[in-house]
Amino acid sequence: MSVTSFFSSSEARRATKLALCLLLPLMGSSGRAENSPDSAPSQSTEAAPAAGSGGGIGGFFSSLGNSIKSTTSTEGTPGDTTKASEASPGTSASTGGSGGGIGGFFSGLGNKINETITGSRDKPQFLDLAPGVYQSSNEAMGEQKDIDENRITRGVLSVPGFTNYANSVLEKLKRASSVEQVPGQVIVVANDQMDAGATADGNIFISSGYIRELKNEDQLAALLAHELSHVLLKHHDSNAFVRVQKQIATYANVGMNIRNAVDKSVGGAAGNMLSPGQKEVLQHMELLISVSDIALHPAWGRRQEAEADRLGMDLMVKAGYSYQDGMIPWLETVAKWDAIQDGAKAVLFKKQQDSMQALLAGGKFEDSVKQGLGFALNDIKGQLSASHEGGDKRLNDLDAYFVKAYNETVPKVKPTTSPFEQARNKPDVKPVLADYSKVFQARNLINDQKFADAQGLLKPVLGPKSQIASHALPNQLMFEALRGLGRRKEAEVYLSKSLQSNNSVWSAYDSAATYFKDQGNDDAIVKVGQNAFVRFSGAPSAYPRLIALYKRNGLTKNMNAVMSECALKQTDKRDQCMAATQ
Amino acid sequence: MPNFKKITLGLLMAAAIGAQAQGMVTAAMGTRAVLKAYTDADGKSERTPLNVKDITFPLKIFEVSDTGFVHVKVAGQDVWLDRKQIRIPPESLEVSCLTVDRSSANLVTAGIRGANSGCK
Repeated sequence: MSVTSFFSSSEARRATKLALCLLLPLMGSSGRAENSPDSAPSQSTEAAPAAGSGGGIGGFFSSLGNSIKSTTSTEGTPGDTTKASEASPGTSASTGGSGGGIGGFFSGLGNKINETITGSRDKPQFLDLAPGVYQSSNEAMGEQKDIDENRITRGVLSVPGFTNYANSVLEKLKRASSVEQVPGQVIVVANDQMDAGATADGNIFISSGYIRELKNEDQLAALLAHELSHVLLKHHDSNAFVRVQKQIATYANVGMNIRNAVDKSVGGAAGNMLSPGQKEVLQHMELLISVSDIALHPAWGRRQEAEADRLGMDLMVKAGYSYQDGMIPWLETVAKWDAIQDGAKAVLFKKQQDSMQALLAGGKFEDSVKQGLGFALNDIKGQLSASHEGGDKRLNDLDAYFVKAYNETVPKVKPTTSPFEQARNKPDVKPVLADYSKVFQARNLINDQKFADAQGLLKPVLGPKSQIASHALPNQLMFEALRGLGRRKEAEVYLSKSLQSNNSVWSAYDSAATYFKDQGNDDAIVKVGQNAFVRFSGAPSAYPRLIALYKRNGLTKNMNAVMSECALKQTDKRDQCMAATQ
Repeated sequence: MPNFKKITLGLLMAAAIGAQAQGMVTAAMGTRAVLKAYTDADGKSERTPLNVKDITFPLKIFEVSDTGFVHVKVAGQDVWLDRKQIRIPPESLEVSCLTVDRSSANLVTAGIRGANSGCK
């Protein structure tokens, strides 16, 4: 089956076209290398002028463009810039770059990204929405798989008293969009930090921590309007771009190995190892994938965040919510959270610097240099790949939009506080959230091997009066706490309860695998893995989790089999799958 | 016998002025060079705008009106500022990184539009 046949929309076709446009010239240039593996890559003798204006992500692309131009031949790659503009709507066909080819493409793209991300707009974002029936995203995986995917990565909480209320707010926002039959519902996830997201299926996940942080219905509406905007603007469709690149690289790898095997079987000498030229093709592909992963795709992400903030504001105002008591304080909270994260990052960076100093003092210069480079690279990667602007920048951008598109005038609306408080304090919500807060603390105590403390914290949570006594996560954690205390017989009861629970968590299967490992029962571990995979509908994140489960328990053959399947079927999880094998 | 008239008046006044002393104004919103300023809690009586460069932030908030105006003192003078033109960050957050699932923190945002970066 061809790669393109996975997709049907024009966006996906454009993404595929761009990926091919990016990769094929490199394959061509490597083809030359394959014919003469000893030949050096052709160098661009003309120094490329710096096309970028200023730093930031645009500057990065300009430099990257020049760098690529100097390491790859750009002959025979006409028209790249036009194709590129097709694949990223909003970035115009004009590159303003320096010359053609891949390098020119990135230089020009850098400039356009700078303009697009930092620019504001004077017309309502709402005008970009096409009224009528919602067309599903190509990236949608189906409601159950979508929920299971988030069940694996986040854990889903059943708090109907709150989700029913939040869904009524979401419905108001959907009606305000004038788009009909928009799919998706609000789902609360077991996570004590401020975390929320929308999926291609339209589902909006908000964390229990977020529920505690919001102060009124208008702030909840601001958050939901932002997430709904991602869905309405089809932002998930751009995921196809990176995935297609990875699929092409994977298929190329597999294809080359097959060809080499055939060559060998008909008497060729190549064998099934990749030739130097073939390796070079794959290295070029990996370079582009890396660029997409750490810079290009996140840059689109930041632009998408700005769009979602603007459309979110439009939807809120149309639905009758308060801008000043909803949108602004919500983003202020996000900015505060970002500042806390930055503080934590600064502490980590200081620790890294200290350890580098220690290496220097010990005369281990080479190690120190390596470590320093590693830290610097991680920091740069982290900054480039952050898909969100900080809350401060988002507030500034939204204020510019408020001035230009709204002329600083929105209806005066009083915030809606009581219904929000009532929903949050319902008997099936408040105690559940409070108990889960204890569960999260217990989880960290177990990570720190403070098993007795964890058991003490979990005991009332699993008592007869608790609403979450049958939930999977607290039972699994009690199993781990008791196991850590050497009380294996008692522990088994909780593991059994955890596995029988309706709201499964992947970690219960991890615990079950460890339990059977203690008994030396490899067959049972394989069965546990298979059951977990089926229970979570084979959702994408099940692949790296299953690989890690087999890896931890020494089942290398099973691990490799899942890894191969992940590389072929779940290319956007490829890196996580790879990391799970390490 | 309690003075109901007084109590009712007190309640009404409490409703008109939404909240007392909530945090600080830390900056002007966006790239504004001037802030509109008012002498009343409803923003009906506008006074001379304030140059942002002449204001020493942070400003203590004395009151917040239900109509979205914030009572502060600038250079010793009482003024009401438009909530939409100023930054008022929350003093603290209830969430913390202490209770995050550290084992899967790096998986949290994968492929999710709008997700925060989490406690990494």
